[in-house]
Amino acid sequence: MSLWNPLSNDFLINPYLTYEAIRNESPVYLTQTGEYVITDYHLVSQVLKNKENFLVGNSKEWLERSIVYFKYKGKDFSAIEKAINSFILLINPPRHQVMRKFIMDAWQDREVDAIILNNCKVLINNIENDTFDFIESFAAPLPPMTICNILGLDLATYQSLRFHGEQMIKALDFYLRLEDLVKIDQSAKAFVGIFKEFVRKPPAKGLIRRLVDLNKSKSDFLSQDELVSICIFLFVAGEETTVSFLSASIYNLLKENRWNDLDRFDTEIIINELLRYDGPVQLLGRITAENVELEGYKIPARSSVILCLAAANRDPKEFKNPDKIDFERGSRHLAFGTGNHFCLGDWLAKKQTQIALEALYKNYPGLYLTEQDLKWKNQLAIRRLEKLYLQFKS
Amino acid sequence: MNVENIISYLKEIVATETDQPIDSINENNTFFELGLDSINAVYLLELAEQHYNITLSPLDFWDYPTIEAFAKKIYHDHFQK
Ligand code: HEM
Repeated sequence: MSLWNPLSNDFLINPYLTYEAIRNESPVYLTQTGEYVITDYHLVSQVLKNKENFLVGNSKEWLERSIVYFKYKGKDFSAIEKAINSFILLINPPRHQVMRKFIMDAWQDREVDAIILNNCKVLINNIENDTFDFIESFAAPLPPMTICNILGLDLATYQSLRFHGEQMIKALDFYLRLEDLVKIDQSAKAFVGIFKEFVRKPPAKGLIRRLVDLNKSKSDFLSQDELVSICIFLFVAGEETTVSFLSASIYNLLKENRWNDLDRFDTEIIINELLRYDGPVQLLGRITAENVELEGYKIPARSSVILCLAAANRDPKEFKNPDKIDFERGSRHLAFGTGNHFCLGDWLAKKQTQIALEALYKNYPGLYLTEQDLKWKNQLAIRRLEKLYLQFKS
Repeated sequence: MNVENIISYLKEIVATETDQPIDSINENNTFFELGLDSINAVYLLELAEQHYNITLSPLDFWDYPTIEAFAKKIYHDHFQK
């Protein structure tokens, strides 16, 4: 049996054992499915910085080919292509820089503290019982609420989009099945429908308005379809990732008896180490543009490469005792990637987690895990808990 | 239900999918050699799941890369008493 069993239950519960086994076997490991999995910190970082030889967009290519294929089987998944056409994460130079700069120019306003704090208060006030599912009552609603505020969308839109966001992000996952394509397509349709209207008639305030205005001032250099796709990505890029991070952070702090460390360490330092220890984005895909050699490992042209960020962040050559949480190590993790696609929302994710952790700690100084079984969602690229029951004792 | 039945069903769907006569499909060739890729694998997986009313893993095609190995896996997991 191969070491690479990412769809097994064991892997979902604890992928780190597999990462370690694979790294020990070979830092560039060829799987039975034909991908090259890279688990070494320096190699992952090197690949992320090498945009000439390692292209993004393997999920986009695969989805586009699937759409053509299934069209002949009588299934129409074309909404997926519409939704993802301008996900900048999947676009290569030279177009990538232009689109990325456009988004950054429109998104200058980083005043988000008051929005986040308010959302945290609303959610915490709604928690009635001393035992509650943290995901359902806090981690899952907070990020889409905040991004809706930022985009200028109202509460009703948030309600109709949050579940679609969770479903849509599966478009970036590995080893999809037909039922996944069906669900991604449903959500893609919903997103395209809703955002088309908002791009045509943007809300008075917020990021959609600024994107649309900036585009006008540049004599519409982006099409409506491209703007719609950019908005969809801004919604989904920060949803599942931050939901995952909030819940994993609480889980890891409680499991390791480190909840009270929120009193002892700077929250920023805590967050930085938690991003290294158990970051949301576990795997990223790349395709080799030509034959490449990575410190002696040969990878043929047009190969799929899986960059394992979470394994890189536990590489013992880079981090002493990598499986231990250590707030004093000052870690240079790769949880937000590096190079030209470095996360555009890292500041927002960190700010949101910081404000949330501080508000939760203030309201729930005595917080505990319960005996209930943990459940992990069936997805690989972004690892996420499905339920996390907590108990508050005063 | 036995492994032979499953082999002949798999041969049938692979033959239809790759547009080859069923007699030319060898159960010991890999799916890749038979002309399948990761996209039509998604489709065949769905067909086999519906036909037998079972759930398979998208990785089974690679972990059990020939019709014979795949048929044995299906039989072993779902039909062996
Ligand atoms: C803890 C939460 C988050 C994590 C771990 C995370 C991680 C990442 C990673 C690893 C990448 C690089 C992907 C690659 O190189 O292929 C990325 C890209 C990106 N992220 Fe995040 N992210 C998070 C939250 C957010 C938030 C809140 C936003 C805000 C909308 C956001 C927006 C983006 C965008 C737009 C890109 C694409 C950048 C590009 O391709 O140039 N992310 N993120």
